[in-house]
Amino acid sequence: MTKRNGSDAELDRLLAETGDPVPAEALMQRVMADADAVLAERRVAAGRVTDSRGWMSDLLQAVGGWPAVTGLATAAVGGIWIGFAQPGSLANVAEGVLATGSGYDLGDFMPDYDSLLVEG
Amino acid sequence: MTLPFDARTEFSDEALLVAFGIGDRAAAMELAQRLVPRVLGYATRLLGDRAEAEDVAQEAMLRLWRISDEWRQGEAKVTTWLYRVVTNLCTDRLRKRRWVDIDAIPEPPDDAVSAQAGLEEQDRQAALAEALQGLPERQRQAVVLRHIEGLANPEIAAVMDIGVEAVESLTARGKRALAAALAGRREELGYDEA
Repeated sequence: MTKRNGSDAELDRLLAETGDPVPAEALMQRVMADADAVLAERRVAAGRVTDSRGWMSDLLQAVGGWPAVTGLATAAVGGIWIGFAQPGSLANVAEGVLATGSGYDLGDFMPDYDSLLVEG
Repeated sequence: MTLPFDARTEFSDEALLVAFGIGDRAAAMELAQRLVPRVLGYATRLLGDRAEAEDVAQEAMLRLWRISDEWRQGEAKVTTWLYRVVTNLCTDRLRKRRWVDIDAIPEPPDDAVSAQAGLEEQDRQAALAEALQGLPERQRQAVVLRHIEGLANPEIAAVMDIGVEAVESLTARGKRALAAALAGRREELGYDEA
């Protein structure tokens, strides 16, 4: 029994004295190279997220962002309206200018859609 | 024993890992200095092969770097997670060895290794390493984690994914087997037959 206890104590001491090995410098360099590679991968991934807006987004930024686009849209709609809704008739204007008639009526300046109703 | 890579700082492993996760390279260097010696030592004792253990240590650390941006402090200990990864990597390698190259399995200790009396400490450690290789794999893991790495039984249970009672049983049986393996070499190792 005494012998067994002594053996156990020796084993405990032997186990306790067992230290961790000193890693080779080459291993530490490999480990840090992996860490650097992971950091680099993450930087690339983060850059990809930033650049994922595409050419539409780039175009938008080039013209001044959404405020500029709302101005463009308003101008476009206004242009279309002017194009389609011309004044009633040039004859009315001519009469006014040449003073051959009684003058303008409010209706002369209202948009005229008659041309759109003509069949043909 | 002086551990040149053991740089003591005020930060926990978990805090350093989170710091690396947000891009702090110096945190990775500190973690590597703390953890690689432990990981390497554990893997060496499980595998009995330094070169293979270095590959395992590198792979385990790479997995740690990769998980760093998802790590949440307070959920787990870095060392527990790392020991678990190393255990699994070593188990995989030992399984492959069984099927691929049966000659690569270290021989269990026998009395004919050396008849030289009064071996130095280095030889005792070599004898211990040899005796550890003679243990069944799970006993070896439990004994190394408990008696060499100094983990508490609940932490070993988390590493090995078993209950605490199973850990106690494995360490007790493993230590008995280890003592028996070394008993025949007491004189050779310079111990008195008191």
